[in-house]
Amino acid sequence: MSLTQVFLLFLRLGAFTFGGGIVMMGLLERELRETDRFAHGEIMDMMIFATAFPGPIAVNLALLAGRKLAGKAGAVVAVVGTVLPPFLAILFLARILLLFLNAPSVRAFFLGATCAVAVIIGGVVYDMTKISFAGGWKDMAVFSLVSAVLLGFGLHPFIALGAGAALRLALGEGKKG
Amino acid sequence: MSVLSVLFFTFIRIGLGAFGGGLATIPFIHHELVVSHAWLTEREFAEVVSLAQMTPGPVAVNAATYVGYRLAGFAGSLTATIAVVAAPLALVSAAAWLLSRASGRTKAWAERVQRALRPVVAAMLFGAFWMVVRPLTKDWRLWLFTLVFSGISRFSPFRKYPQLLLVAAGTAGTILL
Repeated sequence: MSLTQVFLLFLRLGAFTFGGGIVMMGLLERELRETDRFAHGEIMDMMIFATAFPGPIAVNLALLAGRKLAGKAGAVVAVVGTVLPPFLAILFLARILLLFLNAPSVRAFFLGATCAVAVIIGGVVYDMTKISFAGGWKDMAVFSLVSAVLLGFGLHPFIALGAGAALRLALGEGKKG
Repeated sequence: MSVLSVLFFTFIRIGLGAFGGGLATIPFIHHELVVSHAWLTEREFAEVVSLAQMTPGPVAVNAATYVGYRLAGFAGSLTATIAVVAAPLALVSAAAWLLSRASGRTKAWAERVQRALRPVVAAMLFGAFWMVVRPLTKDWRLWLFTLVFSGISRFSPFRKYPQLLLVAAGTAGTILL
């Protein structure tokens, strides 16, 4: 893929990551699968990597995917492409948007869009659980435990991540995933 | 320290602390911007969160651009936006580089850790998904909306371009909600 193509791909993705970085995972997964350059598991591994590190997931993901598509320069243009639309949107639209924040039609638009965000993120979660449950009951147990602790006790995600990964390692290998 | 360097170091910290994706990162950003620095009032912070949902991009990046601009104009917005992504990107690229050079036992170990992270990351994403979905569960119309759009999402052109799903759901929201 040429650098221009990579830049435009991430510019397009960056412009539509309403509802945060996880939406971008859903969008990126479809677009990357279209390019036929990635195995499904490879895309999932990039998503895991991007989430397991601190920082905005969309930006981390752009770096990893851009690097795979066009090397170091690809990583740079992918990150710039992802950050540019949000940057410009806040810079130029913030003042206008603040005026309409409470307008009923604007609220209705974003309420509707949130439903689509839920659908897209739901798809990502479904794919991710499917691939992570390859190791059998141990993976399911860790998933359930970490979800419960995160949602029920509001544990800091960083601690949940470390503890969850340590627990999964302690349980030992399941089937090769 | 000048305003720009304070902005820079604060947003480096926010970038490193913004963990878990999307809405999960908001409490941390709130602490840094409202409690430790008093750059925004509670009301202004709520506005920034709404703005972040109305504009593309990760919440942390949107907050950086907005707060940077308010405190030091264009230079401030650029400084804060670069700072918020700089540290995570450095970490992710260092880790990806190390991983690509690893071999033998180190490589096998890294792969085990990556596999162990799968169910944990799936749980983190499930948590992020739930935070988006929870406000939708209060209104039966939104249930219906989500169901309908989840059906529609399976067909082209929505299958190929999920971005269209967001726009369609928003437009339908303006008309129906």
